[in-house]
Amino acid sequence: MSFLLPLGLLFALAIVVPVIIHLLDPDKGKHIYLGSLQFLLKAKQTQQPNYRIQQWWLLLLRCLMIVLMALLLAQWLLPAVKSSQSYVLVPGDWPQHFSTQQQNQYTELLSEGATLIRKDVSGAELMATLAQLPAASSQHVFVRNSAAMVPEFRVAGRDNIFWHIAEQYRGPADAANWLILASGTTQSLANLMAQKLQTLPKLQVDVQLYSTTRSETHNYDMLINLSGQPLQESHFSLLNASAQIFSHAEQPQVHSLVAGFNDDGLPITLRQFFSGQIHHLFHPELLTKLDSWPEQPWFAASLLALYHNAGREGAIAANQVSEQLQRSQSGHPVKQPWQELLLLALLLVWLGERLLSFKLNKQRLAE
Amino acid sequence: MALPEELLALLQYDDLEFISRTIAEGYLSGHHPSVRKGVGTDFNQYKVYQQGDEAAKIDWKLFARSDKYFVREAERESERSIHFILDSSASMNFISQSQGALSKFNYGKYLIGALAYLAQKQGDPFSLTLINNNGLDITATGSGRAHWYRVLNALQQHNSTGAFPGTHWQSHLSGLVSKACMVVFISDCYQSGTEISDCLSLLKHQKNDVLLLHLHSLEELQFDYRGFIKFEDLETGEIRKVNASSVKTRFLAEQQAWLQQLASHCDQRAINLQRLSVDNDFSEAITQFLQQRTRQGR
Repeated sequence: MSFLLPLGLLFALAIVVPVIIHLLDPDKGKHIYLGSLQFLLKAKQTQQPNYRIQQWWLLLLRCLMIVLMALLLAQWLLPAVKSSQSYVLVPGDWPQHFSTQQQNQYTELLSEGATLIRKDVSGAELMATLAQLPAASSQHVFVRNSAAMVPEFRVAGRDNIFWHIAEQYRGPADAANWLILASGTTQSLANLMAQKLQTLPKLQVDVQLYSTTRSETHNYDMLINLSGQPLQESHFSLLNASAQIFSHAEQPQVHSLVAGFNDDGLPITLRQFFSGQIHHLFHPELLTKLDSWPEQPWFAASLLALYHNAGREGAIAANQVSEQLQRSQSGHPVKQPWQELLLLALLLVWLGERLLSFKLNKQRLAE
Repeated sequence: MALPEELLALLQYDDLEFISRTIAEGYLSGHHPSVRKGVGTDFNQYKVYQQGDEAAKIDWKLFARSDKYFVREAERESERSIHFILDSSASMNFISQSQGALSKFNYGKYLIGALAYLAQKQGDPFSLTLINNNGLDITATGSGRAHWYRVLNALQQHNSTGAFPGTHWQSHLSGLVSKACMVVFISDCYQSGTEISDCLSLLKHQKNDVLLLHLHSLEELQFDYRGFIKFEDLETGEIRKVNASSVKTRFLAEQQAWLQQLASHCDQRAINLQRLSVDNDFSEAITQFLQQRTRQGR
């Protein structure tokens, strides 16, 4: 059990208030001695329900109310599902590039009984490796840079994967694949992504897939190179042509995200991007637009991965952006369905308490 | 309903002898037509024969002298003793909430004091038994003023505690009342089982008369309580917290059933049951006593 504000639990101490109220029974004063209770006992057999028991129910409800309030205040977080198995995946040159904190985390995981997989894989190969692991297990993946965090995993909602990105790595991106995204509406993009996820190994098809689909639809606009290797000139001509399409786009679309915007507010062409100019062309306005994009999570991840690719200066810029991103995200309320359930329960308990209290009061005042 | 003021003033003295005597004499001097003339040795022993008197009781010697019919009474009556039995169980401690109220037990004490005074005046032998499950406190049969003081002393010293005893103690009573006599049983008639009913059955036989003075309080009879009240049983100490207003109807129904049951029980055994409210003065009780005495004489 974990709490966002453990101090809020102190509110539970307020339980003494209803208990004291219960003990200071307002009707305590009236005490009458009768010669015999026999008629009363016979009469009471039909009278229901029992006043004293109702009083206890009332106390219980009141205490429950306070406990719920305390839990709400402390922002009880759902206990993380501890799966029976956990895996730790580290690159071959572990622990190079990783900070001490990350290394500590690694040892801690192993001491908790996690299975160690030491493998120098990235991109689609990494995904294939992870896909072989049981779906219910939690997977801690230590990668050299965020480029290895293949965006599709985020899209598919695979939240059992915990990424640990090396903090001190400044080399080329780990991903050895071409990642090709299609343009068109965001809807069609999502469909394509879904298809790709179904056929994971096919992700390596890369440029060829790009070319064929391009010729079919004449509508492709985006190409991300995560390999760190320069593109060939033949690719650029295609990309340049498509870049012209979204330079006119009024609203930023998914397909234009790769390039971002330059100082003049124009989309940065892929050619500019791959020629290594991007890191100083990154415009702060982009950040404000991030929120309005439904594909924001994986977009941000992709973007950061690209920045990593742009060399040391780009990595520094990426860190700044990621910090800003985190700051802007922490401002948002953390969505917790648990809290809503608690609130609902509190409401129900409160209603019950009112009802019972009203009933008892009515009985007390009854002639 | 409260006791009359003069009685309240009297009760302040807390002197059993004084109170009992004043009650009895106050009754006698008051205009109570039911007091029978010629009762007791202090009165004329001869009474002019009236229609309805038994012819066998006419004093023929006197008739021979005076040529008038006279009836002798006092000789015969003095043979019959009066046994007072006071229930001294804890439930008799019931006292109503109103100002200056008497507990049932105290009411019974004063009543016996006054009745014994009357009996003593008439020369009737009388005894007193206080009964609860601690045992019987019997003041043996006797007569005269000194005996009256003994009875008062026993009354004075006794408290009401415990419950009404079972048949074990009751069996001691049967010897006491075996002869022709008058039994005055004063109780609130609250019983956990059938002990009081059993006791009444035991007391009553062919030759004697039993007068059951059933003490009750208007407060109990009307059950005019309101709201949530903790009721405690004086005998068992059991506590029940109930909404008095909501159980009132049922309570009264149960009580009525009980009263009827008691009445039919007494009816079957020819026991004279008289209900007395401790909120009233003693005149009703004394009247009942004297009437019973008269009836028994015939």
